[in-house]
Amino acid sequence: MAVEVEDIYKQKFALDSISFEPIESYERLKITRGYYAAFLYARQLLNTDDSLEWHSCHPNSKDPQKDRYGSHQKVYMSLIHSKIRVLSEIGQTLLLYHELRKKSDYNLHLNITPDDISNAEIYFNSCKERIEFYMKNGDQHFTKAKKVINATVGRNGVKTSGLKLLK
Amino acid sequence: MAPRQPETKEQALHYLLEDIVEGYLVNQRGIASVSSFVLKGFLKRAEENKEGGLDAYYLAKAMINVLQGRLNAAEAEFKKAIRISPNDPIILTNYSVALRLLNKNAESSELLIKVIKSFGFVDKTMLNNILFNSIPNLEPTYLQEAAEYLQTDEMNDDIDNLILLKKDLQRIDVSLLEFQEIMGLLRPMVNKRTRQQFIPRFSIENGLDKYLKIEIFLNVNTEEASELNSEFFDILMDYVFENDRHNLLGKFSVVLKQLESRYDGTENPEALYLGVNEELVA
Repeated sequence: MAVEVEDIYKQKFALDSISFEPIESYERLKITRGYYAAFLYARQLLNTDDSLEWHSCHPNSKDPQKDRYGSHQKVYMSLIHSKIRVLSEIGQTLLLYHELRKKSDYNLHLNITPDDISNAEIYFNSCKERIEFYMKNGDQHFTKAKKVINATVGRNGVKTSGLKLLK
Repeated sequence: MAPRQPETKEQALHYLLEDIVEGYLVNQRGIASVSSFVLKGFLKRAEENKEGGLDAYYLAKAMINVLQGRLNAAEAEFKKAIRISPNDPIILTNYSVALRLLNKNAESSELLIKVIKSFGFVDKTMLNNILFNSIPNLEPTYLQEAAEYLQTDEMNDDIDNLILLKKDLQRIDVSLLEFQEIMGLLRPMVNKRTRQQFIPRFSIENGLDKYLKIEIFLNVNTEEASELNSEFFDILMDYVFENDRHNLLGKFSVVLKQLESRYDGTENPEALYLGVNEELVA
């Protein structure tokens, strides 16, 4: 039976609530499952939001075939090329998270350090919060605050709205 | 430990300089902070002992400005100290550090080479300082000059690494200007927030993804490293969006880590540049 992105998140949260030996394997599994939850969620966002565009290579590439992005790079670079700040932040974070996931999955001779474990959790939360923020608020400056004031600069100076609630 | 009691004003300035350097500028740990009370205390001690030597007085004021992050004011005080004692290697080497913090890397290296050649003064950190000056522009000329003069081969690997990294950046379409932009954002932040030596390690990913990986190792704990990463991320994003430099994103992976993370099993962990990884893994 097919699974949803939500199920991948559930998988990661279930892992968070347990622990097994060796700890190194456990931490690697958390990094991998967490990364895939973030990656698949971001990919779903690109697939479902019609205003966003997929980029298989850099928009200015003279040789698109040669400059073709990798399958994971395509996702984070498409977010970055949107030039929407909150999406660019997700893209740049996914790059860091992907690098960590590759270390976790392929570089068995390297140790997963306390920095790696801490960074993986930060990347995981940051991607999820920002994707959800973008889905609810669109191209707004990411904030965890509940209220924002919208300001627009016009001919008559800066015009501000009342407080807007962000969910 | 009871505070030392200087017998002369000259000695008092000497002790003050030692307190500033050893307490707040070398062997730092964690996120740097210095209270305004301490700074006021240092300034008071400098003023009270001004007659102990104007060169040491201006040097102390320069160092206090460095602590406050007021680098232009520090430079002005260093110049006053140098006007009085133009050949003092201690003043000149400290001034070279301030120049580096001001991103005047070539000037800083020229000064260090002058100190080495003209005064025969060689401190073990000087070659490292020239190396750190060389990193933002990947320009090994001054390092080569100093190493040749001192007839040492201990910097050969670093010199080779600088040359090779500059060449390899082209393979992933990262220009020297882009590299300099990232260094220009990263180094001042690290200096300001930690006052620790900026020790990067580079490697290039040229498989399915292409980017330059920059790891900065600092004497911090995991929480402090996270705080610095978050701060750098915001600085980078602000810079990209305020200056329309979107091309920088996706080309660099910058992570600040604690010193211990350098030794995670990486082969040749002390190297400045680890080379190109071309494994095609997704």
